[in-house]
Amino acid sequence: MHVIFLGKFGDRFGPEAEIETDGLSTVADVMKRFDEDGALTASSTICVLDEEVVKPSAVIFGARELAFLPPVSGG
Amino acid sequence: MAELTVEIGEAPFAPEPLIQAFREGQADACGAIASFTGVMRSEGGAAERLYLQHYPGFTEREVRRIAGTAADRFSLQAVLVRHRVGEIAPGEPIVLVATAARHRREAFEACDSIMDFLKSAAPFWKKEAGPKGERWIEPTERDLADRKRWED
Repeated sequence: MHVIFLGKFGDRFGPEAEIETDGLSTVADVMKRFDEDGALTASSTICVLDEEVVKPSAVIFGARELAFLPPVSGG
Repeated sequence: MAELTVEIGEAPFAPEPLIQAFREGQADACGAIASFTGVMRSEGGAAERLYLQHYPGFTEREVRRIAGTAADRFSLQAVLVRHRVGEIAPGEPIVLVATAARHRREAFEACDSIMDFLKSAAPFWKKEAGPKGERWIEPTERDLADRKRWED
């Protein structure tokens, strides 16, 4: 699955990554895989699975792309 | 149904010809065109570059939703949103919003409303670079208060 990190998350984790999802079933599982100090699992993080905003409990089976969005700056 | 045009890209743009084309594209029923152009400030030299990031596809959809909500609320005939992403220098336009309505009040307020939502809720991420380094920018208290005017 393709994982995208926007904004300050990109500085921290790199702008994108390809991951194997074996053993991962939810968005929260993917978060934990990258997160070491809770930056991603903060409640303000917006999770977008195949262009739909989802909760961390969302199942990732069959999904192509997951994006983690920090609070927006606005335009 | 209002005509919504949302364009997000890295290419610099001049607002004047876009506004002229927008005006010329309106029907006779249109009596008011309002527009706003946001330009990068140098903050007295503290900001040398702005890097604006978006999430392609997702950001366009959200900006279109913001424009559509304003079009419905203010009975607009057309909306144009042009937004830069990538690296931007001081003095360069960042965003252009143009609205077309039968009367001026609707055009003014719609333009104001769209900008307030773009400034505080649109999925863009801005990093400012200057002599003291780089920093990510978040909406100010004023940006959030401005948006709240339209939510009450």
